[in-house]
Amino acid sequence: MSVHGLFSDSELKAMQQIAGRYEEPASAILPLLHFVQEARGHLGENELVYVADFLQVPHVRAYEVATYYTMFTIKPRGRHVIQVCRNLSCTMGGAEQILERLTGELGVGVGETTADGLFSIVEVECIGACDLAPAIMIDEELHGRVAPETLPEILGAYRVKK
Amino acid sequence: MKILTRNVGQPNPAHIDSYLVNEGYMALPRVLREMSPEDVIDEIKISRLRGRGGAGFPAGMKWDFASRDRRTPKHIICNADEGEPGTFKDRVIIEYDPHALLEGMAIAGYAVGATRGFIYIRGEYPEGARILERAIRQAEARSFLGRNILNSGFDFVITVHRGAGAYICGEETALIESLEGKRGQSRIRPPFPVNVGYRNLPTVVNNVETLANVAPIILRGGSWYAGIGIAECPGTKLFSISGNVEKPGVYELPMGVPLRELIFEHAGGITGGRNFKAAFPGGASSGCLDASELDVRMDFNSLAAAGTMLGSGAVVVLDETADMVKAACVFTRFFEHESCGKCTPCREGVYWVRQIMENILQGRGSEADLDLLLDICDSIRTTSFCGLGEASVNPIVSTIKKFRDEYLAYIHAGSQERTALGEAS
Repeated sequence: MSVHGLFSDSELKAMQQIAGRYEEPASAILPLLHFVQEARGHLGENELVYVADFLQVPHVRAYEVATYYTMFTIKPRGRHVIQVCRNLSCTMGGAEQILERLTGELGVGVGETTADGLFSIVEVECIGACDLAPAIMIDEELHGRVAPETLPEILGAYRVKK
Repeated sequence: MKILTRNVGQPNPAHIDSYLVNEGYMALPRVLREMSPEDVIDEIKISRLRGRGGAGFPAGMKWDFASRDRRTPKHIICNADEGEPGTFKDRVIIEYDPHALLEGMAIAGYAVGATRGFIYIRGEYPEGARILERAIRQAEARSFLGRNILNSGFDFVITVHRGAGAYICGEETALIESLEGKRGQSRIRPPFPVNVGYRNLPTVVNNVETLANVAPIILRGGSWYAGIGIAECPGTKLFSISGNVEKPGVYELPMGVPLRELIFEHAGGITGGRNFKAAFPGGASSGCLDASELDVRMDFNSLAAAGTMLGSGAVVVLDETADMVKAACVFTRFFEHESCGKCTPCREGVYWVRQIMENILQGRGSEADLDLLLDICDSIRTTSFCGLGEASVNPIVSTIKKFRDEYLAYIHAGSQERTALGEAS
């Protein structure tokens, strides 16, 4: 299967290890898509087909999962994905002002990616940090009690990150 | 009384050594050496522990049903997909006491005859997933999990499975679909997962908090637990409290604590000394309570009697400056986003009511819209396929009932504006 050349040997080994945790092959779809998205930034068509073949399930099984769950994306995104919670506790805590400052600062709207490919902004529902409202997540890092004026500094730390 | 949060604040709380210091992994060896599976189920029944995910179903009864089904392999699934807006209490157990959860799962496995466990954790908790993975490796190294646990002949293997951002996967049949590698859409019930669950085999789905209660119940006895809180739903409860309170956070309190005490004695009262206006006691799925209901007790039965629900214990507090129409609209937008699309009442109905709510907020509503909203909400509630659709109307229905004047203010302001612009005549 490595004829596709899509994944390196070490990646394939990791994928086999993930699949090995499940008695039911299809159960590995979500974990494998997490793995691929982490490695490639998004779920391309070739990768989806590969995952489906890897688990010997119809291609559509990988595609329907990739397009159903909020965290998966079949479109490329920026290097850093900024998730802004817009649920009630965060809205009451000022999520709208966060979003306004963020889109102003980066010059792109919700669902868009900056021209340099560094940041994407997405709106999300409750991320389980209501005690830290308003909360945002950048990649896998949670930022709580965010004030709009602190956003440039927060973003700055990611600009210098690889 | 601290049962579930006893290890919070300890140094390195998630490590197995910290857990072992405080009676950790003492219940599991006792179960394996001294108790039959029936004994364990009886003890949980005596404790009257009810499921902490929202439905409040008796845990002992659920285990009993699954144990009676002879088909194998059986599965224990820990529902760690806490997605109810306002809920962040399972995060505390996962991050500060993951071993309490693992020990509870292993005991559940022994009781129902399951050798396989999954923890379905929401995708938004990557750190929680890493903590659980580490905890599982530590427990396996000491033979509290894995093959032939403590030389008892009992196997129990746990896998952490990450969700990917779908609220509906907190509903147990949608969770099972998702674990099978599908879109998370609810299944018809019955049959219930205790008989037809993961891979169509007997499956127990328990919430994180439910499972974390198991080891303490085994150690101290079901009757000890049944004596805490109130008789119909005993024990302590983790309340997540957020919104306009001075000290938002997770508080472990006896079931049945009055809402007033929770807000004013534990959560520091309303922000800035303002007045209380309303609270959603069980997150977005629950109807709101107003100031006349502050003395309601926070438990499954009392809140049901008050026309709302405890759910997962997610209390969102709104002060006198809050906009109830907007709050209801935020929750409705959430439900629209999270509808799985399987059934028409939820998919189309919630989309429709969200548009009406936005019209009202933008000053384009009429009084007839309120009747229309209630009419559509009634259809959604009575004909949706699963609980998500059913509950999605609670914020709208309860705010129209209790804060109708706020809706009317938007409607009248809008019609005056239109009159001034000469549109309405």
